[in-house]
Amino acid sequence: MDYLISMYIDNELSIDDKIIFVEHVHAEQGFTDDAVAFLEQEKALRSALPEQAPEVALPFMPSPKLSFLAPKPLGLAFAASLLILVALFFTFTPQPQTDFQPPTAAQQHRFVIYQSGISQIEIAGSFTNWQRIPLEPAGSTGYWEITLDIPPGEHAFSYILDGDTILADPTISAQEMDDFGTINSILVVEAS
Amino acid sequence: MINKYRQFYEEYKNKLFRYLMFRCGDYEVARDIMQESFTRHYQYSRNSTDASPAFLYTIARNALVDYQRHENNYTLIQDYAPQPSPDLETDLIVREECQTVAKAFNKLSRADREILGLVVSGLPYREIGQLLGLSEANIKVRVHRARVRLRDMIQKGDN
Repeated sequence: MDYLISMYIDNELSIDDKIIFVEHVHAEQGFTDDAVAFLEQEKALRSALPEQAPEVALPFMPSPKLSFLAPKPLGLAFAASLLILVALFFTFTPQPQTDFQPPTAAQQHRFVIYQSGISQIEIAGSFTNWQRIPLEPAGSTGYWEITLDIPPGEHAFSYILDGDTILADPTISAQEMDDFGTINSILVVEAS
Repeated sequence: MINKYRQFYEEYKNKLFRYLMFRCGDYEVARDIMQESFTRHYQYSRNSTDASPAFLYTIARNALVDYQRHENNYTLIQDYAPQPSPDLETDLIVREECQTVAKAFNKLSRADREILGLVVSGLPYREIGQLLGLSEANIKVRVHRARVRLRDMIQKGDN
């Protein structure tokens, strides 16, 4: 009857099985302890697996649509024409020369990675102009971290282990390969 | 058929990907094999009325065997990377538990790892039975025995 525990974990119990299972839980403390232990074991086993599969190109799935090519309603076309006219007006109006730039509110982002038995981890990405910046070890836990100011937008980055091994962030599923064949993680920072 | 197959894909893509992650432990390899498996499965299934999950998994397992033979790589769970929480200490405890289980998992027999990989990734017993050519009753016993052996292996490791 112990296999009822596995059937419970895997959602395979029929109504009759459920009755027997609950009766066992009430009657036998050993059975209950086993059930909890197997559930904890299962939790640890499952916690590493990603919940979602990555998006891949497949022949039976629609290709991503290019939204700017889609036909627009006439109202939108009219509004767009107005915008162009207004833009043209301001283009031909002399503007005072200033160095003012609209603020790009950079946001602090904490990067954390676990790597034991490593003497140095650096991060390099589009937000550092691909300059390497060393992470700080969090005590002797094997975790390394750094907090950086990241401007809003989409950024590619990677970690460099011991100066030569490139590793994408294993906690970020969005990745892309650059022109040199390196897999980088993709980080999207929303404007605040 | 294409809309029906898209539904099939939505139902099985996460399950198959988790199974492949279990078997090879490599995100990129799992993604490539998932893509290849669905593409080939669709080519075979497009003219039939039903898509068979057992056939999809057979294609994926064969692709995995080819990859492992080519790479000479038989390690299953290679690295556990739980989603980080704001609390580093919690992360550490979770990671240690995962590593203990992963270490024990890798010591199980190939048959136990296979059946646990299939069931933990979310495939129902009935479909595992079809895939392995065994009855559903047989599967429920084998799954539980594999879990018991995993628990024994963890306890042995702790001692």
